[in-house]
Amino acid sequence: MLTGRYRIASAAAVVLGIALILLSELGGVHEVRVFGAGLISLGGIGLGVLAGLDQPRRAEWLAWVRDRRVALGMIAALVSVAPVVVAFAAALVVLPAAMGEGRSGMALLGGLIALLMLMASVGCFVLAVRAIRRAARPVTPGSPAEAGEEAA
Amino acid sequence: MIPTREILWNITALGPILLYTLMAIPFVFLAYGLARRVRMWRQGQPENRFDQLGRRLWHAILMTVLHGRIVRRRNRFGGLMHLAIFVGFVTLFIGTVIVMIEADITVPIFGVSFYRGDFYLVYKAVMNLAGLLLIGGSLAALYRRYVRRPATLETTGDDVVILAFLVVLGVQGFAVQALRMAVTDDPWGPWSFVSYPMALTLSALPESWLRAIHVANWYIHFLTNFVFLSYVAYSKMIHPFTSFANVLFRRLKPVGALDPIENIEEAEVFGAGKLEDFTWAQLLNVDACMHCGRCLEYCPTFSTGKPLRPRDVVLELAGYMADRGGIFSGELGQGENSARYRWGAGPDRALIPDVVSPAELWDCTTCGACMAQCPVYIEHVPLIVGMRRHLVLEQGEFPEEVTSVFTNLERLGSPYQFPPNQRAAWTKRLDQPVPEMAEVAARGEEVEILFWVGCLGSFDSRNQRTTVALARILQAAGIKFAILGKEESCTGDPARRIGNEYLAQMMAMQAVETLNTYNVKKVVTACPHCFNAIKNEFPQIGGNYEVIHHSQLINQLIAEGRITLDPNSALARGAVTYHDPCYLGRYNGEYDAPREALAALPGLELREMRRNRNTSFCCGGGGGRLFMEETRGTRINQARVREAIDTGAELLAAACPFCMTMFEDGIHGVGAEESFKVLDIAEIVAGSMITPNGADGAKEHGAAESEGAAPESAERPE
Repeated sequence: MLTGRYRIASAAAVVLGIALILLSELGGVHEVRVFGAGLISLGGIGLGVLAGLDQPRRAEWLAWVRDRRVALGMIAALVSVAPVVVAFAAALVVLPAAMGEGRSGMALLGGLIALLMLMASVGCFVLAVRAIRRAARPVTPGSPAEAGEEAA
Repeated sequence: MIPTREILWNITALGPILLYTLMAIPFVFLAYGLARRVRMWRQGQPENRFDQLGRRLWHAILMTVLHGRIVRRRNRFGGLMHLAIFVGFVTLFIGTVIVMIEADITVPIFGVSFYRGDFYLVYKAVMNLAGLLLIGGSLAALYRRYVRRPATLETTGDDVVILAFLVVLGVQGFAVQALRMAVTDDPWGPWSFVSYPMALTLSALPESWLRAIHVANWYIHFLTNFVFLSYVAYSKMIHPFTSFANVLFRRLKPVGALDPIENIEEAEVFGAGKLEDFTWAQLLNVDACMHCGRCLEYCPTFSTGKPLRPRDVVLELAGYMADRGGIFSGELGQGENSARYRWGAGPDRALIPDVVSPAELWDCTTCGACMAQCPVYIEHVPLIVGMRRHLVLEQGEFPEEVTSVFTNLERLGSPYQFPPNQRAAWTKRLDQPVPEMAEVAARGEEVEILFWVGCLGSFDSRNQRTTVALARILQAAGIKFAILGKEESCTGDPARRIGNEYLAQMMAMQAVETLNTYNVKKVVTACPHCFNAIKNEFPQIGGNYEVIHHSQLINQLIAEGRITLDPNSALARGAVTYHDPCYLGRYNGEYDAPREALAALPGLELREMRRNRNTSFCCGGGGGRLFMEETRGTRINQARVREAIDTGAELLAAACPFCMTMFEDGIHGVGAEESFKVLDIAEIVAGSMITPNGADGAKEHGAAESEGAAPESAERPE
């Protein structure tokens, strides 16, 4: 009963918070932005805590996410890396032009940093995709003792 | 012109609307995951860990925020790498909050801006440095996992995904900043020393392109942050919360004291046969593990290829708890390396043997190396002993060899098949008599100190030599002491560590009753296991005494000049290496007294083994292992003996009868009897003492072996 009320209050806080954010950005009343953000955060925390303290249950949407976690993970990895790759690749493409505009040393340094960041981003993308794909493999059956003795 | 920048530059009203509205999602996920974990911990038994909150809080800050146990001399690379990531991440988080305060509070509500001038310039430089630390630390972590690959480190998908997240978040931040500066031609750009050169390069692009790429990067940056925050509670990244909580609620009792089963006569549950049998703090313990592998670095079972890996026991429990708690957790850890943990293998398993195998439990020597190394104070040994208690007391399952130990303890008061009236047989080797407390009390006298001989010191022929040596030292120093003789019984240490808590409590209560009968105030013992039990565990049942280890007393007697050493003694020559017994060193923090006692003999050159002091490598005899066969992996005692021989020393100095027995076996095992020997500190000192009657102490206490005679075999008593 009490939990139900808390849940309604949390959801209401999120809705009210969103309304304040809309008022702030569309109505130009920026003073209320922080209150909107606070209400959204508190409401979100409240909803999460109440659900977390509740009995475990196999939510269908969670199962849906679980079943598609590899695909979702790969899409998320691609989307998160793509804009920085575009930015740094563009920096490398225009590097000769940038060096011709004076301050060539700094522009070259910028190109070098962009190259390193590009390599780091692409490298992390590749490693993350490999890790996500690896996660799709089934659990190895067997008792812990067997596994331990294999290790030994 | 005052240095500052426009917050939300190039972002329309849609940006903040989406940013703040979607903020609810990561908060829901984070709070859900944390609450789920709290719910799981609360399934455990009650235990008060809320005392001394000030001390707890300070210690938690010291150990986690200030990296007390994370950056260590032997783990410099890993520690500094973590420190870089931590400092970078926290600084960037604080930086984001500062911008939020400016944009959402001080400017719109109070009309005051602080994000300008010198503050702004320093802020920019600090944020760039933080970004570098975050990216550099994360790349160093990937390098460590993929290139250096320490044997104790296993890489799961979760580890890689988290590090990739951190690198990409840092890179996105620099990209957004560089793209903005490329358009605005920021005159204070050089303060952003990483982004500025990139901005100069990017400025060759058309402005419309720069603006478009900037918007894309800005949205993706905040969305990546939100996805990362949502992922935190279901991955290893939960560790800032769980680690802090675990250190905050760590056990403040002496590390050597196992918690007894309270009211054991009326108890209905003995030990941990299911998750709910652990305390809530123990369940928090297993959830705090981030599989860094430091517990394996000095673990004797891991080093000798046995099934037990303390980290894996903890992770197996954590995975099982996650399954039972219904938490959507650790799934990315199902990769080839972590399949052993069986994350997601299902909640319908028995704790033992499905989740943790008996082989894992019985291999533990309880040496505490895992606990001493764990950066977040996970207590592996109590977990293992808890499950051993279940096996012994509820299932009646234990290694066959231990049966006779239990029987002998019950019938004879020691693990060995010797009658109690033979406990003082060793005194016949001494010229002066050693009084027993019963006689002393009958005479109405008192003694300065009670010499607790211990079962090995009383019955084991090899360790009797240590006992005799210590008695000679006490007599030479003129100390008025006595022994309990046939009234002495086992402290219960082996039974307790093996898991027979009922028997252990019975033994301990018997011993305390005897000591209290004689109003004993001060106890000396040559056995660190007895030392630990009397000092740390007897107070649980009303036995409070001043307890000192014989190495401490010997060192004190030397320092006070109460015994005189002969620098030319046959025993006091050459190179010696000292082995720190686990129950003296790690469990009770005594590392110096034995070394100082050896240093009092100038002819001895002390050479340290690679693993020494709190990283000492166990002899393999603790946790009841002395009484069990070592059937899996290679021999722990031989590994330690080889390490001792590698120092170039000819003599291994011991300070524990368990270690003595294991090393005598180990020396035979590696075939080094002719060139290498082990002696107790007491034997070395007694053998080097200038005695009033002019007896050749060196010959009596071991110098004979150095001249070629084989030492008496140290059999494991039946």
